[in-house]
Amino acid sequence: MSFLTLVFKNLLRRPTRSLLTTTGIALGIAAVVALSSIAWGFQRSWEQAYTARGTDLVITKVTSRSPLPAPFSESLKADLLKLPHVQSVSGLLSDMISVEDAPTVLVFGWERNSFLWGHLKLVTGRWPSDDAEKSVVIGAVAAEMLKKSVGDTLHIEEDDFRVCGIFDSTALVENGTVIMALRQMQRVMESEGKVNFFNLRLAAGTTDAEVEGLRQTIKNRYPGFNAFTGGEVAQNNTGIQAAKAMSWATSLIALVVGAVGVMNTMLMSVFERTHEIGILLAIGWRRSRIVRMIIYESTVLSFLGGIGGIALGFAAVRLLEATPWIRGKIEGEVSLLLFALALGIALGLGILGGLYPAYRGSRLHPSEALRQE
Amino acid sequence: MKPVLGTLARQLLAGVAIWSAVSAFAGGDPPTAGELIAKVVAARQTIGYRVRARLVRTTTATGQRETMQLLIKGRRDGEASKVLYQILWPAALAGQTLVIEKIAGRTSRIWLFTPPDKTADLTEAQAGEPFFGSDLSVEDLAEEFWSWPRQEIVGEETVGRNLCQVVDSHPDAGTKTGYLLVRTWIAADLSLPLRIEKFGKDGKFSKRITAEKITKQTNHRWTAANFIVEPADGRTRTALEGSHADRDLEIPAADFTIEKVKEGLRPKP
Amino acid sequence: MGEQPTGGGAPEIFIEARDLTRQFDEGRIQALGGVSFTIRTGEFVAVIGPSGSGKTTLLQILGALDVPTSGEIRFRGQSLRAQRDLSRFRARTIGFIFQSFHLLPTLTALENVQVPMFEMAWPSSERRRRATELLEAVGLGARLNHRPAKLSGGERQRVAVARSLANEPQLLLADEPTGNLDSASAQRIMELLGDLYQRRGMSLIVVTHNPAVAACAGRTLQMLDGRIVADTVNPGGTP
Repeated sequence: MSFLTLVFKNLLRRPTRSLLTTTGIALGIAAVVALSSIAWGFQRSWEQAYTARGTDLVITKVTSRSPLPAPFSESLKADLLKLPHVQSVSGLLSDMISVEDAPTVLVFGWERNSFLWGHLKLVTGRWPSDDAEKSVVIGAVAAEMLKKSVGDTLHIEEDDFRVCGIFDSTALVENGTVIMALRQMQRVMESEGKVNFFNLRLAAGTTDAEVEGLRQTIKNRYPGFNAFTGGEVAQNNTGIQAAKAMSWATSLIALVVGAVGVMNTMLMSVFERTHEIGILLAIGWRRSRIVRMIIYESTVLSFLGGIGGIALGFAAVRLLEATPWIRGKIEGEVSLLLFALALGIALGLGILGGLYPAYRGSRLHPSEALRQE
Repeated sequence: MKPVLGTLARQLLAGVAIWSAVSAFAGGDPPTAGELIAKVVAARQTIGYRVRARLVRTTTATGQRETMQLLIKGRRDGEASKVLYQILWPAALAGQTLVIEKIAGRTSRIWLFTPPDKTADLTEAQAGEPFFGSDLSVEDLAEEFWSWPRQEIVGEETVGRNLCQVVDSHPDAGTKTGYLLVRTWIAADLSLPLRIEKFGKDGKFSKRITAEKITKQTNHRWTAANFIVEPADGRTRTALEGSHADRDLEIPAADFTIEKVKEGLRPKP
Repeated sequence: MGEQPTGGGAPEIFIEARDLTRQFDEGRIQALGGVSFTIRTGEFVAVIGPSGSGKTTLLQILGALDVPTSGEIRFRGQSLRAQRDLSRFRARTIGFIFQSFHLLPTLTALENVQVPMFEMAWPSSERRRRATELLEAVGLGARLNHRPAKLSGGERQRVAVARSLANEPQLLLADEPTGNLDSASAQRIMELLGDLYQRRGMSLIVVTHNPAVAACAGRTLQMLDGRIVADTVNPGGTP
């Protein structure tokens, strides 16, 4: 019999209690896994938009309040093209607009001959053919939400547009958007000659240091403007920050509850076994072994809860992905990192939850415990 | 030679003097109804604005919704003001435009344009009719009650997280209105009405209008982006949701003429 | 009358106790009021007395479960107080047998006997081998994988005896070992103990209030009110 066997047998003496504690941990870990997965997936979906497009840097005007930056003149493009390492520059104009029956839709105006379109896959129909045509392509999710097919009319602001195509994007977040030629968007927003983002593609082999240098140059030369990498734009997105904060807060609560549950179980277990612990001390066990036994017990409980919780959490993610709010827009992140993080948290819970009970257990005096009888 | 006032007495006097000065600056007296309303009205003042909004009327029982996309424009010329409400979508209703003209806070003229070329002035009775089929009446949009003669603060209540003064506005005998009483909850520190309850001529509760999505704009002004209208019978519910609002714009006076209104329908080049 | 064995010198002194006192509750309870004795290697001593006589307290001090309030107790010349790690000392020196057996209920007999062995550095195969041997020595070779619930009272105490021998102790301490057994089992246990301690060269101290049990030992310490009132040799007992 190994020490670990003894630990397991101790836990099996109270099967219901052990099961309940493990379940409690599992639920807490499942919450951590599910929420983190969605929040990270949310962030990744935004980052994906930029990697999918092949955008290395995003230039925009720094704004404090509005969710989308105010439009600025297109003329900056010529200057940007002259910067070192810059291969191509694409301007876009975007806005959140209430369209027909939908509360808000992200509407893009993209320069027609730009690298931005490259990663989109046309499901049906065709792309807008020229700048004068009042047509739009809509993402697959947008098509479902707005109930439009190719050939239908989509009324945006004061104009009727024709849906000429439906696309699918590897960047999930784009699937809920409406895209038209930049010139058309400028007309709709009465911002002729303006964009609110420039997407830059840099020459292959540009080092990180050079990218950083480029960013500084842009910040210094064009005050009020900033250059972000795709990941940073995602990070700065207040929606993403809110999602992550919420997921952390909820996870923290779940974990505190889990730790308290473990501690409670272990304390009960220690108090029930004061006599037995006295015996163990009497027959020669050192206090450190008592401590180890208790912490092993709490850690085994948490570990098993952690495994169960991870499985439950990933199942919950799949379920959440099927709900209407999330479907097609966010893919939960299922990664080894998350797995390891969740397991680590479970183990940490076990150790933390067992510390105080182990301390109490080790404080027992063998003769006191024997005298209880 | 000993000073006339001992040191302690002098310190006491100085303290009293400072205290009085501070109190005076802090402005102890609570505002009157008139002052509150003046604040609200002043906060809204702008030479011109343009708002894009969505009007949704929901039938409570079935959940069925009727949606409209609206363009709202306003302009102020001294004491005179004009507001225009134009339907952009759906196509069947697109182009219908309601224009409310006011002078010194009182309605001077309300007219409705229905494409292709029908224009009609609205009578008093018609002002009580629903605005574009919603639970708001045209009179509600005109918001004349701010200028009614009798205004009084009847209490204080917290709405959401804001402490509001409750102001009752009563029309006088000559006023043309469908209401006996309009009660407004005004958040004094936001200079914004958060809730309005209207009571019909029979004294019974008619509808409630609640402001939602309250945010602070860049110039420290508070605005509400959405308005929820709940009529007394509870069978329907209307939401007016603003998606874009630009203020302090130079909107040409011509935009409010019938010619321009007709023209506004034609697709832009 | 028992005599000290002659030739080759008297067996060495194993335990030396001098003026042991033990007070509880800040001096309000005086469990031991000055106890002194010596015990030699290989002795079988019974400690007898009514309840409240202090014999249990003495047992706990002898077992290094407790430390005297004043006085000195030495094991082979080494003071108990000087021990840095009482548990380690206990683990390697002393084996306990309790009135209520105190076996761990979810473990088999074989596993129970191995419990004290964790403190020794033996690998698990070695532990298992030793435990098997000990259980065979107490006559339970056929009951290795039984849980305490499936064993009779006498069998359980035998497992406890095997456990007490797990770490090859020098001293066996038994607290009313037959208290919960019927007379037949009680006799068997005392015979077993008498046999084992001699063969393994240990000292055996049994605390009891039962004169029949005390009679098994070669020497009896009688206690009353926290003191030793008599220290007699039993001619009929095992020395």
